[in-house]
Amino acid sequence: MTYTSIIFLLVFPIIVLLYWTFFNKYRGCFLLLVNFGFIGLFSIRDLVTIVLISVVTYLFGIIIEKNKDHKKQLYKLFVLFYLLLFTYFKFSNYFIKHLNSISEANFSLFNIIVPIGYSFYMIQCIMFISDVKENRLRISDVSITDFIVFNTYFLSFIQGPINRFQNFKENFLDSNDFDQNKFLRGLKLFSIGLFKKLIITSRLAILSSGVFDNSHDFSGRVIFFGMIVYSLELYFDFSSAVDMSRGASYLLGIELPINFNKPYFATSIRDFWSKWHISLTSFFRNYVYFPLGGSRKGKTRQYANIMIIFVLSALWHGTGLNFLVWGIYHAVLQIFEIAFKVGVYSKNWIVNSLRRVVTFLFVSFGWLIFRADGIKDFLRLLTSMFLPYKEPIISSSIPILSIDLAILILSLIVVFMGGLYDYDYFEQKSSNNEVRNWGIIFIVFVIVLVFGLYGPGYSSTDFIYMGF
Amino acid sequence: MKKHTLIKFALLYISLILFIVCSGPVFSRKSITDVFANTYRLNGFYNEPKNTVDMLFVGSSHSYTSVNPSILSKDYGVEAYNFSSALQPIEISYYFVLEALKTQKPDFVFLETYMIDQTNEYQEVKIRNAIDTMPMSLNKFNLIRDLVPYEEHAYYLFPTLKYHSRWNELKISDFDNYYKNETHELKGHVALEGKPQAEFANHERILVENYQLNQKDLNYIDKLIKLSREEDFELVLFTAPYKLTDKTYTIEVLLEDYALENELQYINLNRNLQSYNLNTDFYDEGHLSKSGALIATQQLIEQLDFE
Repeated sequence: MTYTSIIFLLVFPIIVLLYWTFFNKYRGCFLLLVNFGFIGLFSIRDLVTIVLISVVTYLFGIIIEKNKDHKKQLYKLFVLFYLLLFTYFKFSNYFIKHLNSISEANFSLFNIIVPIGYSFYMIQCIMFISDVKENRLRISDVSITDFIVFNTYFLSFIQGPINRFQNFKENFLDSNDFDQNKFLRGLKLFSIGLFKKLIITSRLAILSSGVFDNSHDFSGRVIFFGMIVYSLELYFDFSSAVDMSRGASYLLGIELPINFNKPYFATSIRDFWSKWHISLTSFFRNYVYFPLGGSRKGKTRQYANIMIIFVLSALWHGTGLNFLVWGIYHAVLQIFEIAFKVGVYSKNWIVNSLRRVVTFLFVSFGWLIFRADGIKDFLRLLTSMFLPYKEPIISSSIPILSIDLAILILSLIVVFMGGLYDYDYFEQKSSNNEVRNWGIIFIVFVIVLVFGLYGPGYSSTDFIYMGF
Repeated sequence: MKKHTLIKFALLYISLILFIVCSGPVFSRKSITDVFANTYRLNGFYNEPKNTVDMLFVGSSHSYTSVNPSILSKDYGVEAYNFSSALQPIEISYYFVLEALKTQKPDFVFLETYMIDQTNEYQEVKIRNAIDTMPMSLNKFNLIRDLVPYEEHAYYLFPTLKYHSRWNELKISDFDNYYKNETHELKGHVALEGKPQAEFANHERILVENYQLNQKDLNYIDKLIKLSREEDFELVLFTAPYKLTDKTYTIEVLLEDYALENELQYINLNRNLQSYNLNTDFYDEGHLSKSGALIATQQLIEQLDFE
């Protein structure tokens, strides 16, 4: 079940109403039941897995707190546990498949069913025990049910944003009074997220699939165009999911971290990574890069640390060689920026504009590695981009109707001119005009209902980042 | 403040649901002015005066092209309605009979048999052809629950979710839905122009060995038999003329046995193919033209045992 599924859209408003009315005094228990119900709908096995891992994490926290003399060693041991578990889930099927293809055998250890959401909640577990180790969190202030409610939180466990327990505690466990502004903000954010997903992303997907599914028929500017479109598709797909997740969470009075901050306006690769998938980048920076020494142990060590976190990030994203190449690509770019002192921001707007364009192009090349069907395919796409192509960019081979293209362009204009890509837009206090507030929300939902691309046959409603 | 906000939220939710429900008839696909006029034909049944239909026909396009209720009415004084749809699976025919029995008490229900043993795989077009025109009711809900994959239920219950992409095709007629209160002048029949056909009547057929009829289809025919006893009508199986294959020939032979075992009349108009002029009486190998329908309708009523 995703945020765009009929079941979610029909049932979630009822959950919100029950949460603030009948279950007002028992919101924690109610939220726990909702979490379990949501995950259980995917599979009972996934539910049992996440609960077990949450319980084990909590116990790790207790052990670390009670053994302060050995907390570092214990922490490393426990992180190793998570890494091994992560490796097992992420890579077992990949290795077996390749082993079988090399040896022509037919190994199948046992049916390795990968639990949904593990990439996200395991990071939360590592952050939790790290915070206990660093005395940022006391286990005695946390009950096991609190932690389970946090780790199974149904609005973020599938595709983030990755959250810290302390944030959740502050927002929900310690105080969760009804806030009308937050509520309206949530509704607006959710409706815009839905708009971005079903109006924009779905149409961008038609264009990018049209190019890359038939890439052997195209070259030159069409491949370039496809690359740009795919970059936009990734952004709108991922950010729309986060918008809906944060928006829905606001309706329950719980604030989730921001995950995007105008990433394609970044002026350098380092700047880009401070604005894209912020929760994951923050994890790697605060819990991997800094503990490894960061930039404090000389340039060589700094470059090595950057390489490590991007390789880890690549492995987190996927199992293919192209993910690894993508990670190394970004690490090399960052190292280059540091080595040649490429600044983050200039006072000259022309320089900044040029930097934004160049950064966007470099990021888009990176996404091409992501999108390609392996390294050979990426190299083929890259080289074919520089070959001439005389036909129109949008041709009969790309199955998008003119009307859909017009809607896409109009929607992009609305989003960019209206500043709807900027998270600040939704953090502002809502206007006092009630009719305007609710009226706009109603109109946005109706626009999505009528002009959205969804339903049987529209597979683009699956979120790309759910795959992680 | 909290109470007012939650009330407005609830109103927003209800408004959106109402929009989805009320816009369904606007967005729904309609087939009204084309030659098959599926929506018009099926909707026309609901505007027939109550308890006026003596004979009900259900089944596939073979039914609605071969049986002309106007001839039954004019020449035989029998009021009939052809409540059939393209590719109508047997299970939907069952639900169509249930639907019809809400407002009619026919003496005979004719089940056209072409769709027996066609694939049982879910195919949206077969379901949509049949039920998009059906008003929402418990019967429709049961049909959707039984025959449609779970993840698509909402798209049948709320037509807007399926047909919203028709927004750029909408016409005034989508809004005024003028056909809703009209009867179909041919009572569900589709009159097609004849086109010359290659010879197929005298081709020798071979029985397929060890062939068995699809149990799911038989289960639904059994349900119809049970319904016929409860609602006091006679169930009659009939096959319209079309070009047979060995498989479909075998199905007919097995149906004869089945009909005998269950004391059902089975009128197989394929046995009378020599009565038809291949140049004028067929639209294609599977469907009769309007002149062919005249012959088929007469043969049907003359072969029917009224006792």
